[in-house]
Amino acid sequence: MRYFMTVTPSREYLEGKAPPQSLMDAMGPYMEKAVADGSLISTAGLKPLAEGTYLSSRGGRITMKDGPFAESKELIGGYAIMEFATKADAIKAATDFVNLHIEHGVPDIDVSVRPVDGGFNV
Amino acid sequence: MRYFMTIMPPKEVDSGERPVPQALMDAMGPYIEKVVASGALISTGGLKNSGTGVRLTGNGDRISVMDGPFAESKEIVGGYAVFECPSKAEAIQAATDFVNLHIEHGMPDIVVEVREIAGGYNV
Repeated sequence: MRYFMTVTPSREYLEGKAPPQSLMDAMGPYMEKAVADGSLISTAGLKPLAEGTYLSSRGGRITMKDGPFAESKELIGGYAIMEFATKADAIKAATDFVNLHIEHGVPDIDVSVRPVDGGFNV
Repeated sequence: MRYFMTIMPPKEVDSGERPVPQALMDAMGPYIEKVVASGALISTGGLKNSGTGVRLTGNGDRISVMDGPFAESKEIVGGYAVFECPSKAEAIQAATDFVNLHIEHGMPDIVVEVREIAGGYNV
């Protein structure tokens, strides 16, 4: 099954603070491993919130707001799409990813794991 | 440039109290075919409802795991898309087209967030 994961670090990182060098150094080998075992389909980190735009339609009327979305609670710093045999395997991979952050200086981080219900990839 | 979009339908759609209109489902196929043909759409997916999801929170050196649904969330992601667009204005135009598709087919309350990608990996 395919899983969609969002990564939410603390606000300062969403606003553009660079992650610790040790985490950036650890991310390369981690991603190489996930690519080699076939689980990683797509992943990316996102630019700071201030560069984003938020479109909201209420009753068919669209309003547009530029970042940094001070009032939003669920903000995303990055995402990954991964393929696993079971949900337990997906949660294990997410736990490894959280631990990677804890071990490399970003101990406050949220990851959400959601099964994908169909879709399209180039 | 590459853009990441999250789609947030009304919470009643996630909880199943409100079905996705058939007209919208019928319109989605031709829409996706069009944006694939134009080369703009890289990846997209609809997500199963948040009741099937899990959230992991690292606090200090402790990880807590919570099963969905996430009742306290103001907005729940229902799907995502990765687009390749020459400029942010074109990404916002693509997002506006997508919101309009929903408005025209029975889902007038919807939020799309557009964020530029800083780098990443695709199979």
